[in-house]
Amino acid sequence: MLTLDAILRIPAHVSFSVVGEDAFLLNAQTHKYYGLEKVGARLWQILIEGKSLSEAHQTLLSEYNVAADELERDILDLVKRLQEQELVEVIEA
Amino acid sequence: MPRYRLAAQDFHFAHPIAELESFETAREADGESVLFTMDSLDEKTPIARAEGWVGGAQRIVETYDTPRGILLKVEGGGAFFINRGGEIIGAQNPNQLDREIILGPALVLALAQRGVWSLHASAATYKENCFAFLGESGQGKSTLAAYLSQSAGWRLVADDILPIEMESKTVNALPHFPQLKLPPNAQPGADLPERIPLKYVCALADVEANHAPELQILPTAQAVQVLLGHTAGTRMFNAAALAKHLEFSTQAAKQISARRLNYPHRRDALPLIKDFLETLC
Repeated sequence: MLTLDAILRIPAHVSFSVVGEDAFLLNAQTHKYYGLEKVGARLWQILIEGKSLSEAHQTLLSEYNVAADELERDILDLVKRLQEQELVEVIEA
Repeated sequence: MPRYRLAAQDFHFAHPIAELESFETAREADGESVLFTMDSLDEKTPIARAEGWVGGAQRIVETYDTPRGILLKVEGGGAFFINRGGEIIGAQNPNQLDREIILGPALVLALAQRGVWSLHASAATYKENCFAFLGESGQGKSTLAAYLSQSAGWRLVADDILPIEMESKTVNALPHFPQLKLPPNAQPGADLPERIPLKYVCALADVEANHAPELQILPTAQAVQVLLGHTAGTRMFNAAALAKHLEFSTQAAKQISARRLNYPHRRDALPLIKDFLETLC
C-alpha cells in the first residue's frame, strides 16, 4: 500500500517540461504526453528536486490552505495515477 | 544524386523525386552516392509501430533505431533510411507509393532529426504577420487559408503541413516545403522568404454551423497542448526526438500568440474570420 513514506524514482523514459504553473510529462515508451496543473505540477517540481513524498506533503501544506489528511489523500491518489502511467516508479513502499 | 533544399535545410536523396523538381539545388555525379545499403541496418531496435494515413490508405508504419540512423518501414512500401543528422533519405528504386512515403513520413522524421517540426497546419501571412491554422483533415484549414490568400494583402504559406523551427527566441515558419495536396503550379512557398516569423497559432475548433465564429486567447499551457497535439509524426519519434519536441513545444508556446478559433463550417463565416484576424495586425 502506497504511503507518504514511499520512495519514488522518475524513470529514464520520462521527460518533462515546466511552463508557469503547469508541467508537461512525456512517457517516451508509450509516446503519450500528460499535463499537470498547479498543485500537481508543484508536487512534480518538488519530487524532481529529489525530495520525498513526506517532504512534499510538508512543503505543500505550507504553501496551500488545505487540511493535512486531505492533501495526503490527493498526493497519494496522484502518485498512484502517475505510477499507473509509468511516469514514476515506487522503489521502496 | 540530387540535392534539395526543403524547409531551409539541405537534403540528399538517393533518387530524383519528380515532385521536388522545383526544390532541387544541385545534382552530384553518380559515383558520389550517399545511399546506405539496407543490409547495413540489421542491428536495429524497434521504436514504434503505429497506424497512419500514408499514400491514400491506412497503413502500418514502423520505425527502428539503428547505429547509423532511423529505419522506416511502411506497409505496402519499401524500407527507408534517415541518417542520424537527418540530411540523407535513402530508398531503393522508389515507386509512386515510396515517393509519397519519402515526401510524407520520411521527410517528417528527417526534419525532426534536425529540430524542425512539421505542424498539421495551413498558414497565411498578412502585413508580415504569419498565422498558422491547426486542425485535422476535414476541419477546414485548407479552405480558410485558400480564402484568405485570395483576399487583399494575404499570401498563402502552407496548405496542409507547416514546418517550424526555433531560432534564438523566434519561432519561424519555413514555407519552402512541398504541399502535396496542391498542384505544382499552386505551390505557395517558392517566392516567399525561407524563414518567416510565426506570430499567431490558431487551433480550429468545430462549432455548429449556426454559431458565430469566435477567437479566444489560449493561455501558454494550452498553447503547449496545441503544439504537441498537432505535430505530425510524433508516434514515429524515438525518445530523444520526443524529448526535444516537448522542450521545443514548451519554449515555442511562450513566444507565439495562441488562439482557439471557433469555426462554423459555412462560407459566410470566412469574411468575419478574416476581419478578426486582420484586427490583430
